[in-house]
Amino acid sequence: MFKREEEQLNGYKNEFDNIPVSLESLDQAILSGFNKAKTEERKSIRKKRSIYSFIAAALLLIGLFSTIRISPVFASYISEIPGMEKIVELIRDDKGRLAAIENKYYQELEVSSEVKDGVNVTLDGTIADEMGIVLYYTLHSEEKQKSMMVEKVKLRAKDGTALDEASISYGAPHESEKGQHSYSGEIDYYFEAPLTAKDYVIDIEVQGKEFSLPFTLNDFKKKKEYFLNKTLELEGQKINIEKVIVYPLRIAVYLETDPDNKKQVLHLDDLRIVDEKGGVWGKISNGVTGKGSYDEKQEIYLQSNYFHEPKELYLQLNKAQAVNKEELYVVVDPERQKILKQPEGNMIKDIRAAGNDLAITLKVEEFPFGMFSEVLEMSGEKIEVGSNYITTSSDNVQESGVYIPGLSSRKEPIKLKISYYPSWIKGNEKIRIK
Amino acid sequence: MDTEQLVKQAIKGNDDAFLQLIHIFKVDLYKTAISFLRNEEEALEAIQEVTYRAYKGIRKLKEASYFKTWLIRIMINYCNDQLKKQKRVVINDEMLESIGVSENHSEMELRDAMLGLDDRSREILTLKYFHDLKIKDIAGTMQCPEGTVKTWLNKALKALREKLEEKGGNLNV
Repeated sequence: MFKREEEQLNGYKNEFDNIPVSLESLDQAILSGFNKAKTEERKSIRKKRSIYSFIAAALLLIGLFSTIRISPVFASYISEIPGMEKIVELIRDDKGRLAAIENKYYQELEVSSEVKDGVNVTLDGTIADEMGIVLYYTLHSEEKQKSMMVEKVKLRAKDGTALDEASISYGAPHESEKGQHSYSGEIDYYFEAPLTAKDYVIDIEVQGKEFSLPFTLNDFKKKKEYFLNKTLELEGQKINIEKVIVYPLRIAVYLETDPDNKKQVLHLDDLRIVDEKGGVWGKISNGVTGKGSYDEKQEIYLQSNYFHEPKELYLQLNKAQAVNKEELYVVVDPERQKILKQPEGNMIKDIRAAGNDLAITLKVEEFPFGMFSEVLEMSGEKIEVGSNYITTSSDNVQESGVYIPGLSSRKEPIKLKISYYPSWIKGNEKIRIK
Repeated sequence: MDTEQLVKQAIKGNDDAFLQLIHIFKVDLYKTAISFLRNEEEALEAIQEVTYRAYKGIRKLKEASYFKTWLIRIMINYCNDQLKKQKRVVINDEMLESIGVSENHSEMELRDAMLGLDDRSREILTLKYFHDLKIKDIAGTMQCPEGTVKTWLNKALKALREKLEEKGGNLNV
């Protein structure tokens, strides 16, 4: 019935039989698509994790409510300031920031931008000190939106003073299945040098529209500086603590691992501040946790206890990741899928090259760290790498991986520089700060 | 391992099996993309997006034997969306005709006619004639009776004939 059309269709099909295809670009496209899906899968794993942290945070919040019961001042303070609940929600897992609010160091701003296409931004308030400005904002939309986010920010001093930014964090997308008219979040700025200006303007871009909001900071509370030059020692490995500076927003611990150590100390898992009553201030759980790499001078940031006036203050450490210095590199043969060299203890069970992804299976239950910071050829030539990822599988092993362009065609072994590794040195170290 | 076993592994979450499958059908996917989009760069982008969508959706694939049809359909749907988004079909028709001198004229016509069809007709014709898939498989993936697919196929062929006649007429003017 449709013979002619069917013939034409077949002819049309044959036209494509000899179409030139670049298999390499095809494979590249497949890999990109695959990686995109994997990245999202990882994100959803992370989302699941954040549910746990949400539970932890909820427990903390319950704790907070009981604090409110015994601290009527704080309770009335929270109820006095409009929108304070949502800010408390944002910072509930940071003891230092909660204390800042409790001690009325939180500064209300209530600056709102003009409305553009039904959208505007309010700066609710700020907690700031000489080294950092944390801004709490709310995005408003006339129409309900399922997702909104701060796309870009630019902070400038009104008088043109240059700002030496050390880190900026913002912009996790706010999402809601049902859609919402407003979303609240925070923008964290930290600086290399103490701030001198008081008047600022922040440009915030939301859905392609730019909003400029001016604000003026109150006077900062002064930092508390403790010079120590003391040493923490775990299994003979020394960590020299130069000083501890307590700012309202965070504590900075200045330290350096001893160059004569046999092992390279990689990560101080449970470094914390403890007062004489056993009150603990730990790592920053959401934000910048440190500066500098493990083989140089570094700063580790902890939650601030600025607003507590302890009689005694200690720095404590029980556990750190470390490997022998001559074992800082894992050497693998991607072609034969073999581990040629790894640190003692053989924590890496298996490696597998799938396309350009190098997957590493670890014999630990949970190790939420990207293990490698650098990938090199045996000659020492650096290889640019893509993203790191971590997946947890059911049977007490964890897979982490790194995307290495061109991996599938590599015939030579490569070496991976360790940045985190599931091998620990332990002890019970406590040094007095105050 | 044969394709069907690979599909079963992939549904269970085996990444290697999934990637192997995509590689088996990559040329089919590419041809489909290029026939719709006529542009290498866009076709490669399509491959990327289809790999992504297939990975996200594979757990929902119930019948392993329909994998190929299922995969090609993802590509067709993607291409249909792209065509709509760009409205390039309309804008570029004349341009294509003017630069298409080296191409076989009747195939040029056929492509234009195909692009003028509704989405479902284009999908059915692509699956049946481009990929030689069986009515049974197409019906299986679309979860409808074979009779329905046959009816759609007939309608599609009829529509294609009309388009071709219309085109032919236009060209003769």
